Amino acid sequence: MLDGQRAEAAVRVRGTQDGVRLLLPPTVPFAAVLAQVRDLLETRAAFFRGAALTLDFTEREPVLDEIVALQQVLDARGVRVQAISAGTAEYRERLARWGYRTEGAEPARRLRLIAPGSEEEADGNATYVRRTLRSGMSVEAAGHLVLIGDVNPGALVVAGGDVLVWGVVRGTVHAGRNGDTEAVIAALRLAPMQLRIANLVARAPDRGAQHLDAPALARVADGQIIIEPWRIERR
Amino acid sequence: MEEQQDRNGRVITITSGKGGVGKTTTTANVGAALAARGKSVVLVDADIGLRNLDIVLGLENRIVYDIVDVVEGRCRLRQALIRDKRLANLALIPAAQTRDKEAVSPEQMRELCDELRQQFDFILIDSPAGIERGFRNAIAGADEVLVVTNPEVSAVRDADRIVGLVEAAELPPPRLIVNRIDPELVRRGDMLSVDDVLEILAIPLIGVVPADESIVTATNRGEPVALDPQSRAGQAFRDIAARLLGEDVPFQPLEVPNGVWRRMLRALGFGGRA
Repeated sequence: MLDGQRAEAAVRVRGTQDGVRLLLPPTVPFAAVLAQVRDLLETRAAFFRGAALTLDFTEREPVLDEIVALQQVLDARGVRVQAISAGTAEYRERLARWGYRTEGAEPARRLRLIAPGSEEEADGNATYVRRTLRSGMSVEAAGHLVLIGDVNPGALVVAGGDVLVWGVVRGTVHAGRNGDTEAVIAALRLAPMQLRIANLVARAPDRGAQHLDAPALARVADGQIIIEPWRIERR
Repeated sequence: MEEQQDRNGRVITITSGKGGVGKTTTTANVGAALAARGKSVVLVDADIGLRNLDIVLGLENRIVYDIVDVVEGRCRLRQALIRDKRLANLALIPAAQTRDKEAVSPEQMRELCDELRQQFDFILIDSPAGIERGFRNAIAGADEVLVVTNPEVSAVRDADRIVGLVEAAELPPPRLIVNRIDPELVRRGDMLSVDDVLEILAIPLIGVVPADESIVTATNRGEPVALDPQSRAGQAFRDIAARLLGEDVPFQPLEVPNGVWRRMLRALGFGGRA
């Protein structure tokens, strides 16, 4: 085997935030792959003990016999296979048919590249402001807006997307300025003068306003702005 | 700045945004309290066109030259300085009554402050209400700013605006004076408490001055209450002066004075409002 090929031909181990991945090389005969895996389990026993790993078949065509054989070797060492990833939708479908949990070729949390000035940029990026907005101050953002500080009475926040305030909102906040009724306004405490989402307006009652003394989220439901406790669960 | 800086005084601007919250009274009383502590103090009335500080100090009849005369070179600085009739180390530069805010520029104010810095320990500038030229003149030469507010929503709103403008001018965060607090009204929930005010403004507190009828009479008479050892408001102003001097003075408990008496008077049908 040529030196230049060795790196490509080897089984590679990679630790990711999702756990350990075992990357299987494309052209190497399976017997050699299996030998390498055995070898890895031997030399790095402590690393693999009790691990749950993903078999990465994005570079190699997944073959059922090979997978089963690898599983047996790993099982014998107490290593669990949690998922198998494949390079194409066809292969993923094949793996699913065989009863394996599959995963896309791309790690789920990989950052996407967004063209500057594109619509996606306005959608995906947030403006970050770290100060209290006092009476008479205003902040505008094309996309989402994250503000660390309070929004005092007489201050104004306007955003094309969501507005998240790590602080108390006592002034006026407008989310989804361009008509996005999916936009939300979230704050550690919502005691606003006025909230606007898209073209809807909600104002504080003229007297005796009762504000939730807890994190809250305002959104549009049934054509009006509602404020509810900010729950962790996803909508 | 090439000239020698004998005293290297501190320029402190007293401002509020809203009118009528007690800026001028505060300036006069904090100044008098500092002077009574032996500091040399000059009070500058920057409210050109609405001259008041001289009245509060009872010095109205001594004015010959004013701040506009100084910046326009019609007199020497020394000629416009009016010495207080009670405290030898307290002086006043009065505002011009017949001119307006445009008569002085921020740059001229800065130069005036630099000149006064060499002669006095403290230069207290009484700012006009508002956020326009007069206010910008008043903070132009300032080293620090005191914001006066009343425990009222509108006054706090304006104070908040002022705090933002002071921060934008890259001055240190201003310190807060809550003036005319009525402990009885706060207790009944009819007035914002000091904590309510601080929650919104979020700046350091330097003074809490109780509502005190004696201020009105003293002001009309041109006698700063800070010189009256019996006055509770006077004590509050003396405490502010001490804190400006770096002393760690505890805040007076805001208890209702003579609570029993007040309750009895109210029970007898006399209104509860102070």
